[in-house]
Amino acid sequence: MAHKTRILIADDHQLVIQGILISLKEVGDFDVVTTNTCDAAFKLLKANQHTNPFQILFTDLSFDTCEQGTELVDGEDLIKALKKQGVDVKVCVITAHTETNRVFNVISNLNPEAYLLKSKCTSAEIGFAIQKMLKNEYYYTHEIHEKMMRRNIVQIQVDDIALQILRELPNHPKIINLEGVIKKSDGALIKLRSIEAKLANLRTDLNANNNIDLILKAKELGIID
Amino acid sequence: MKQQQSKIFLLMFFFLSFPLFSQTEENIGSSDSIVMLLKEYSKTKDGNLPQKAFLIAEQTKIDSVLKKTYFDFGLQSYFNKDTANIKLTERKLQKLYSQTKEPATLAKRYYYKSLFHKVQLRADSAFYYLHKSKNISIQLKDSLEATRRLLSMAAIQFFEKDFLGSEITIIEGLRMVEPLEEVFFTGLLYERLANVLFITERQEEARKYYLKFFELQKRIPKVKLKYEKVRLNLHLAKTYEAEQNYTKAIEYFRKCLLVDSVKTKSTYRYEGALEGFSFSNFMLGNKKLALKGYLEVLKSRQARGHKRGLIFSYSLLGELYADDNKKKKAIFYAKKALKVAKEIRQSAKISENLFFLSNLVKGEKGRQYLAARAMLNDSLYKRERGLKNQFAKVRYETEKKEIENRLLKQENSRRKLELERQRQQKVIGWLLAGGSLLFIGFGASIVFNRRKKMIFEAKLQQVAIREKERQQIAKSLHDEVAGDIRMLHLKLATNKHLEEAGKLEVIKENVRNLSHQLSSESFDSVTFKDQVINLISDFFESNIRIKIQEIDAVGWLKINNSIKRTLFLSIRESIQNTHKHTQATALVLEFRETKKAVFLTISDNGQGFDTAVKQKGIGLKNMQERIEEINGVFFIESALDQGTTIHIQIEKYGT
Repeated sequence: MAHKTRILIADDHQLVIQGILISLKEVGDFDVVTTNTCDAAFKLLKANQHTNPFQILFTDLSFDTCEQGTELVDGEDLIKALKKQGVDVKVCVITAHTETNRVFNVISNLNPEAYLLKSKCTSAEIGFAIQKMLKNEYYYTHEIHEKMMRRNIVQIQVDDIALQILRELPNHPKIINLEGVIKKSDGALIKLRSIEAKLANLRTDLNANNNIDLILKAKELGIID
Repeated sequence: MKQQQSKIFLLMFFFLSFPLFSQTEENIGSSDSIVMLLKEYSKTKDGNLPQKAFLIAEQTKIDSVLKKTYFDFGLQSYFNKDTANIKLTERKLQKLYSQTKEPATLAKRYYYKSLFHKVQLRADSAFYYLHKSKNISIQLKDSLEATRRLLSMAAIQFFEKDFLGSEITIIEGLRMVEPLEEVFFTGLLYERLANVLFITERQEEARKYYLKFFELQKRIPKVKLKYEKVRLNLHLAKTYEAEQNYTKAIEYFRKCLLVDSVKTKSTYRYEGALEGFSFSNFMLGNKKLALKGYLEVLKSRQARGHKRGLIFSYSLLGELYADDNKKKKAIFYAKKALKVAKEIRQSAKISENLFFLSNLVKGEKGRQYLAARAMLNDSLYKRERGLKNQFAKVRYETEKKEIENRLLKQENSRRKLELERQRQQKVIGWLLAGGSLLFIGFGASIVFNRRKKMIFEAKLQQVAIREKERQQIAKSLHDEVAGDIRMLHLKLATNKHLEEAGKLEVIKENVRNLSHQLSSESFDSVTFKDQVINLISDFFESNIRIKIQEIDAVGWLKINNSIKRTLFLSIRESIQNTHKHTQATALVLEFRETKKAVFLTISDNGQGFDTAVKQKGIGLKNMQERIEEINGVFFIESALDQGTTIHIQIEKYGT
């Protein structure tokens, strides 16, 4: 049993837990523990941290916290606490929340390994997400991935410097040539190091493999003409 | 008695000498015709001439000419004893003064007024106006003019036998004139002083001052020293005569008489000298010589019609005859003297002759003379005393006034100080009042501002609370309502109620959206900028291109979350409105920040609406309410086919 992947499921709705359990059974043999509150989840994770650690945590974001004295009121609190305590566990958010703000908050601040939506989720997707997580990769369900992509595009559109870099990049054979071309709104020049950092971020945001790919994607997405 | 007589000689002498110095005031007029008229007036004494001269002068309209004409003719009318014209001059000067307001003119006016009284022998009034005139001159620092008035005043006092007063006046004059190094009036003052000394039996001193007078006379140009020597010797003779040193007196009288042409050129002095010479001889028993002299003097005086002199002559003759026991002749002359004395109201001489007659005439007649004399003396004494008092009073009142003035001045300066002090206190008071007012205002404004800030903060708190409530509702909707619906949906799905399941799906979606609308992320975990970007990315696939301008120009970290929430909700509402209603293809969010406020302008290029016609929708109304609740300013600009622009301004600190 030592090789079994230990999974903890935290959700306040028993029905959802049942659903996940069924799905998990379909995709593999796991050592699964369930809990209805974040506090309990945290305790379990922390207690087993060194003896018999969980590899994966499935958690909802919203918890019905009518009980008094609850410390961790929602999924965000739980993830935050885990990161803070250095509990090493892959986190898969499985929730109904699709509000961009909340999704963005969770992804950018808590950086969970996977983000699944209850309503669209299938057993196959859960299995795929587990595989990815175990390989130290990320998996966001399609809707969330698209959301984040769109958001990145908007962010780039708002970012004048990013736009400048994207526009100027095709005109210069080397990145070093961009130095002295890219300017802040107050006219100050941007240093090469900042330009390179920006480019790296842009590649990540737009899922580009290299700078040429980045330009192509930017054009494709209508960020630049 | 002889003493008294000799005094009277002197009186007469001064009356005669008075016009002499006044004469010098005569100057040659600027206008020839006026000069001509003046000359004619002095000769003919025609009372119409001054009027004419004044008319001519008034036509020139030159002040100096006018004044000079008034002065000259005024003085001449005094010499002419032309009362009407003195009065006229005085009136003219009064008129001139009322126009020019020159104090000097007023001083002159008083002078002529005094002359007017003097001509009418009203010594007290004359003295009074001289005094007034003098005081003005003193104030004007015109010492010479003041000296002249003082000289006249001293003369009046002397004639009225107020010798002490006269002496005081003279000394005042001397004090006034001495710094000027002037000779003419100084001399006259010395002479007057010597006269006073002479009459008050201080002959040594009198002689000293007569000599001083003479010394000064020497320094005056154009003065015929020969006659001045006569004048001196005459004075000196009188002093010896008063000391009953008749031999010495005769010696000096003789000196006078021996000067050639004195008889014709200076008749009155010749008469005086001869009379004195005769009197001294008479006193030494040389009666024949005395009689001869008396008669010559009488003849001369009769020829000149010199009435005052005639009294002396008659009296002396009467005395001489009485001494000779020629009673009839004595009575004859005494009666003559009495008659002339009565004519010119020479009271002292009247009294003297009455007494003389009472001695000469026996019986009832003699007694009557004595009684008349007693009565006269009584009234004389009264008058003398009255005048003295009058003079003293004039002086005293001036002094009193001066003291009063001084007191007033002190009072004034005291009052000024008091006023100054009060003013200062007032200023201090005002300053204090202003200060405290400022302080109160300051305090009030602090209190007011704090209150305002507290209200503002309370409002922000309210926004935050409402936000929390919304969250709660959103959470309930999501977790409970949506959860229940999901369960129901699942049941329906498993029971093959597909139609109902589909409807329920729609409801679920709506509830979810509602929940999303109500829920929000804290700005502490997701920044305002990121939230705006998230919001915009939600509309990514719509046909509107949303542009954000200068979002980094605002220091969002320092801005209250409730303000950010309000702005965020406003942006979402605007975008939704634009998306739903306007068919706009572009929407611009423009941010700006000042020291005190944050500005947001949301403009689209949609169809717009006529703000005058169309009411705001509930969304816009809510937006406005939210903004105004936290002291913000909201206004919307729109016109058909012109797009819509919303301006939002929110004060960062509520003031």
